[in-house]
Amino acid sequence: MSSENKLLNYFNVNNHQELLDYLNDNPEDPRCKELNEILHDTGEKDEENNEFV
Amino acid sequence: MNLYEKFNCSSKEELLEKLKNEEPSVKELNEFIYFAKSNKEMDSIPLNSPDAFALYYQQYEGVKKITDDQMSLVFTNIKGRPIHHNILELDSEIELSKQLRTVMKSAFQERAAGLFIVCHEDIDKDNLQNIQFKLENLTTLDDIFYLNEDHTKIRSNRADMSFNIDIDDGLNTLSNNEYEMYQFPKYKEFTDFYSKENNIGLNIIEDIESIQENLKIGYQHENQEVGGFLFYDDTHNITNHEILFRGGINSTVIDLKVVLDHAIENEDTKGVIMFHNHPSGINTPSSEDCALTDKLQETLQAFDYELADHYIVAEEGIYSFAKDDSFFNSCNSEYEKSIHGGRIKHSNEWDLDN
Repeated sequence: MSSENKLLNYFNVNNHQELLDYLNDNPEDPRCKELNEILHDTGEKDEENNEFV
Repeated sequence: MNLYEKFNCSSKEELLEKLKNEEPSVKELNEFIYFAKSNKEMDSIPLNSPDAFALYYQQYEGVKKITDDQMSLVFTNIKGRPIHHNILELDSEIELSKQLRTVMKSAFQERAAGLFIVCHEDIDKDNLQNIQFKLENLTTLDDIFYLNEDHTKIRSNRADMSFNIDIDDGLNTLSNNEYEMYQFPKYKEFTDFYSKENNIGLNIIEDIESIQENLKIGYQHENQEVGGFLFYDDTHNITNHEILFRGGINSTVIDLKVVLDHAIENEDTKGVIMFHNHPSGINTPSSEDCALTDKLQETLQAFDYELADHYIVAEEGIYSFAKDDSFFNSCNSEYEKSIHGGRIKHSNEWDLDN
């Protein structure tokens, strides 16, 4: 059964924790590289705005 | 298709801009980012007490402060570990019941067994009660935490305790006040409820795949046999979905009188589809299953009711007597035609698949 959540569907996982595990286990997957970049960039931007601890 | 295109963006910069502006089209991605950031520090501690949740939520608050027109939903697995975050938009144009329905559906898909609800203390109480009522029906864990204006205090309704948010306190504040709510049977109550909610109103001719999928969701993991019935009306729409019998690991007793009582009770019943599960995970019918199917069909026909099909629900898939048993003929010719992909099966037809 595919998820209705576009992001989970793209990675073929069931929930956020599974996606986090997938990112850690498959850093060379091009999809993971894209998402890791997004995580990195949003972190940097938010640090500037003091939104992340 | 890359990640940017998946969210209808032509470049990473465009996607980052949408994320920053919290646009609805990238909400799913933002929810994951909040989850990932807040879980970085916690390493998936079980949220088995109000204190543990308070500590966990400190991390989340550090990442994403919900506004007073939002509600944060933190889903956990059966071990109480956080696995997913959703944010409900309370003043969204998408009406709340639609959002809750999506949440309910995704909760199953996300394998969620528990839920924490977080909202502001000044939320409209009627609205909160309405949401709470709906979510109580579908979750195994339900606790309301209110946030005060400056986000320094949260309150656990269940524990009737308040906590000051202080990131430096760490785990030292944890008490032994553990929840007793991560019970697997409650997860099954949820899947049963999900299956019923989604089957009622479906059409047995047009929606066979959805009906079977809902039954599989509802009963494939039951560790005891359950016998249930889908009652449908003249338009072939399901009007009632009832579990009438519960048995042991590999058998259950079906009292045909009880089935008839329920058919008669629903005045618009035209016929029924029976289903039961095999906890073994294997859907092959036993000789008792075949005998029961014949007896049930005979009994229902005597009172002018149809038996359209009998499903065996198991982890490996659904067995349909109408489709997979060459000796069984559905009382409903339209259903029979539909389940065979548009053609009628004849009782003397060779089953070339086997």
